[in-house]
Amino acid sequence: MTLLSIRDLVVEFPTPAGVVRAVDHVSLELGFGERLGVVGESGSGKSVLARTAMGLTRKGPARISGEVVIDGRSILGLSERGRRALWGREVAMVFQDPLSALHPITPIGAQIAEAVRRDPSVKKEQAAKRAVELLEIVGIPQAARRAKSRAHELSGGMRQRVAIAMAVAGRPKLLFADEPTTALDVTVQARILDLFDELCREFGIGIVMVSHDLGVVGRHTDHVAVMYAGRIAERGPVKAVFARPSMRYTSALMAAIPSHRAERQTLPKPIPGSPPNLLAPPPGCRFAPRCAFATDRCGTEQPTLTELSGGHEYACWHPGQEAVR
Amino acid sequence: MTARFVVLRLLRLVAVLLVVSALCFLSLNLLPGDPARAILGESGTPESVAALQQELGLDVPMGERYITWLGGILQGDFGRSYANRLPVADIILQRAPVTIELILLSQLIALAVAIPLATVAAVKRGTAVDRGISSLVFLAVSVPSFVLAFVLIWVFAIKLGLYPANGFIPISAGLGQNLGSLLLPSLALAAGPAALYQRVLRADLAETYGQEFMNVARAKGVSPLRMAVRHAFRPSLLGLTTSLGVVVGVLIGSSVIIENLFSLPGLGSILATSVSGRDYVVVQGVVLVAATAFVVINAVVDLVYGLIDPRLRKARVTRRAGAVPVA
Repeated sequence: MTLLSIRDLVVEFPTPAGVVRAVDHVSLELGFGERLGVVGESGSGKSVLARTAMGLTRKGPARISGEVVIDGRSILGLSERGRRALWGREVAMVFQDPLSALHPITPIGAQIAEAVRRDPSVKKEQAAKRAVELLEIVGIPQAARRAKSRAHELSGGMRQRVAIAMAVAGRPKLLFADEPTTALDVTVQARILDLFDELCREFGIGIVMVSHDLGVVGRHTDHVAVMYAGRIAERGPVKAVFARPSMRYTSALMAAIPSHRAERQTLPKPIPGSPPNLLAPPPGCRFAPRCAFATDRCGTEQPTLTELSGGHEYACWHPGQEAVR
Repeated sequence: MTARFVVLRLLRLVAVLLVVSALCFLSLNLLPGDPARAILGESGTPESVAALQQELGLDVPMGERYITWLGGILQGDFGRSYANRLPVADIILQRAPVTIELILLSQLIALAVAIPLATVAAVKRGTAVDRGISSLVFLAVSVPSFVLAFVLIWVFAIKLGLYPANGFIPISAGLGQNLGSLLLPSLALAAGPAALYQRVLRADLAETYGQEFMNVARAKGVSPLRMAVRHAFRPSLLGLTTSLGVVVGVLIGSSVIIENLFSLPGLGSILATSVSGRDYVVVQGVVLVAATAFVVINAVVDLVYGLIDPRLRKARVTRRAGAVPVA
């Protein structure tokens, strides 16, 4: 059984300057209790992908086609009201900046209790008690006292723990995490990522983690999908992709991860150039203008996803591990 | 913080009142025209005018009169009206409830209209609904209250005959009757402020709706109504609170026209009568009371900020203590 299935998803935003296609024919799958990392630079469409998959992207400003099925239910076909019934209970999201994501005035305990009370059978007092339990689960010390605090009285790491507690309060099966550690100190990042692992292990929550950091995704997910300019560049089990990165953009991202091991101490190699303008993307491979291996074919023909080994696919005319010639 | 806050506010109040009373006293006494002559009118002979001046204490120099007046106030004595010799304090105490009731009723009406309209406009921002409400509000803001008062009188009192055109029915005659007699003037005084409140609150709400925590609330499955009432409203109240404080403060001394049009025995109408009758003692007393009310109301508004958003309370303390906020 699949928990999340995205098929041929296209998300376009009409702007005065033209149509921006933020997500371009993306298909992905995730099983129950699995963790998927979606990696890409800013502007690669990974956040739009996550928000659309959850049904949060509003139909007014966006044009959406394709299909998103969460636990057997097609999200995109539902009305706002129908989606709302799933939000917080079947599927939830942890946002990037925990300070702006938490309500500035309402105490954190009440914010979590509100999410608990999405289940109408839960009484007010029970919800308050459950909120304290959730704060304990996500590792907040003195949870009962902390429940009365407001967001501005907490540290960044604690705020993100609160946001996570709020997201899992309705016992969702699927959790989207949009750059959940980007706004945090490096030392706090690792602990928050461990918390995600724990939630996945203990509660069987499937997690889609959006990140610009391939290193983070590599250590904390089972599958990875690399996005470039709205398209899937490469995807597959983390081990397979890390062992044989094939699309040249993935290879370049791998080369850009700083290594801490003494024997491999090489400087990370930045990727030259910048992502394409989505108003006028290159006709062939989107990465071709920045790729050291690009040929004429790359400039004209779009590469399609090719399977390398069990579930490991890449979209590249000249696959290989080296990022520079 | 509260003790310090109250002391600072009281000091500010005293300073404001000193300046206000001095300016008011000066400007009135430098104006041409003399109370004794105004009271006696055409029939006054130079001798009778001089006699009355002496009786009213107008023959002593201005500075001396100011000091005497100020000294009296410190003992709760606002002086006596030149026109009818009644104590000014009694006049104010008798009339203030009418004005206060009028202002409270009118601003309750204004809020009752503005808050729902602002919320709907903010939720539907950028749509035809928002623009429709905006045009309506613009109309309300561009009609002066006295024009609206004439229209209301003409429609409800003269054409439909539903309503006495003027006259105040005191609370002792029944609350319903009392509120009824204040309804039209309250509507006339509510329209402009309602428009102001709607615009201010809509802007603050629209800003709040753009914040991430509102997206988070939506992703939590919170209903639109609950989002508006429980999530968006409280963080959007600062502008509205400020406007409300200023409007109420201003109205205390400036409901003159409406009170006159509807023959309400409030502070505004006595102010108008006293100015034209050169009854300076009454004018000074009313102005002083209005100024005090203004300062007190705005001090209350400052306290209310802290209740609405506890972060502001903390920020103020931190700033005054000169401490660096902890990141």
